[in-house]
Amino acid sequence: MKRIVWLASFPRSGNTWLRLLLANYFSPGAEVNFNDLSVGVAAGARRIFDEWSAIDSSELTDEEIMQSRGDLFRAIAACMASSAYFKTHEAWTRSVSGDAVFPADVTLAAVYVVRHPFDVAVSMSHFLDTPVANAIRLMGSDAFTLLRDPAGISVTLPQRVMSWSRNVTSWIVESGLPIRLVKYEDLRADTASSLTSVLRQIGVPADQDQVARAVQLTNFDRLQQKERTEGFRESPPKPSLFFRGGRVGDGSRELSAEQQQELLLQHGPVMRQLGYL
Amino acid sequence: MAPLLFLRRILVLHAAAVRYDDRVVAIAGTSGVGKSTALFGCLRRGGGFITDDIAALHFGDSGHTIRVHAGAPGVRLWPDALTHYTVAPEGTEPLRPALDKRVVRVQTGAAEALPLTTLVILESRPHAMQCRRVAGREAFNAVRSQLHGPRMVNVIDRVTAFRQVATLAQHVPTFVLQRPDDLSAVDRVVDTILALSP
Repeated sequence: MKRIVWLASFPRSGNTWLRLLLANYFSPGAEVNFNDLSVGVAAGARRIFDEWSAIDSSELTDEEIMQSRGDLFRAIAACMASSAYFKTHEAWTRSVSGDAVFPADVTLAAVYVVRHPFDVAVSMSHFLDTPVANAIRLMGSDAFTLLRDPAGISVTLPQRVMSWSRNVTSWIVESGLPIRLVKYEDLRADTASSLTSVLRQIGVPADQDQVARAVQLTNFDRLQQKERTEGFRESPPKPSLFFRGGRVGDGSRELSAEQQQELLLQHGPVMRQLGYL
Repeated sequence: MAPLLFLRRILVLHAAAVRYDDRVVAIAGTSGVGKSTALFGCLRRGGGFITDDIAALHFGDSGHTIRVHAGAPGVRLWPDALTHYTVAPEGTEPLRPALDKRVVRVQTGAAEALPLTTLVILESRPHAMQCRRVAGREAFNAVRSQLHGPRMVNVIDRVTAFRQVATLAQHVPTFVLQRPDDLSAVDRVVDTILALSP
């Protein structure tokens, strides 16, 4: 049952924005509540694992959880009457037994959003409230994992993100999944056309009136205003906005020459493949 | 465990439960949201242990008294919570050799199932704490989302589960408590839970 659409990206690359665009497209009657999105539920939510396995995931090791996740998505896909959308920042990986965490046999399509790593570094620095140098270090580490706390747990399973380059290549090269690569910069420059191409990839006829409406409801000024007045459940812990501005080119303006050089050293080959160099 | 209990028509919530004064409060929520941590805080304030993690509910044949069964006497805590409560690891046991999660042994609170008076559903939110009572459709949906192993329940007997969830939502005052994603807020969470009146 190929029913699952993965919405994948490295963190701070526009994944949530794309989810909101899709959610508003699929909700022609009313604007979606951005704190209760049914499109792009987190693939790593403990709630989903616990609900389907009837096991408390907090009593399993990370590896035990990883070994079950492919089957978890198979079980979900087998019960779905229509497509299901899952969001993830994880790299495409396999468990030690070789089973893919995001299996091809249940995948309808994958949409991978990629953003210039200079801009990702600046955005991650703000979001994690960490110096840019640390954000750059995380982006270069294959051990980069979100939400793994050895002293406790969170409501989300540990997310094995890996480095920016590995995250990108794991999905667009290694996974073998039918991928639609979306550049964040293209999504910003011409949101309607990018959304249209994503919809076609996932087999949805892109009604242009609905596309225009979704784009209008999901513009950054509006999202920032809503986040200020209503609060957003994914906002960073520090008083900063999740929808900080989404500008293209912040990295080139704000990163030092040394920081840009470090990112080029780490990710130059993949940046070149993607046309960023 | 939960599917086996449900085969006997015992509804199981993913919840801890504590007796405090004349009340019996179930603290429900998804894994990692802080049920056990809040439960332990309630015990530190003089609450009586009923259960951790699995709250088995018995529905009487007549009337609407819903009773919660006592569970195995132990609270499962991660090292950050043990540190917060200054519990020495020596007084605890590992839950499993491969996990850092520990079990703190506690006194059994009750031998018999006790009438549930309040249900608190814990949710994680990034910022301010908020607690509100829910009713009607919202309470029904909130309660239904707290079943332990809901997919199994649906396979076994979804009609009975539906009736039990509806009864619970209708007769037990239910609150949604949104807490900041920060262990330092746990004392305020406990204050709020203990101050709730049915």
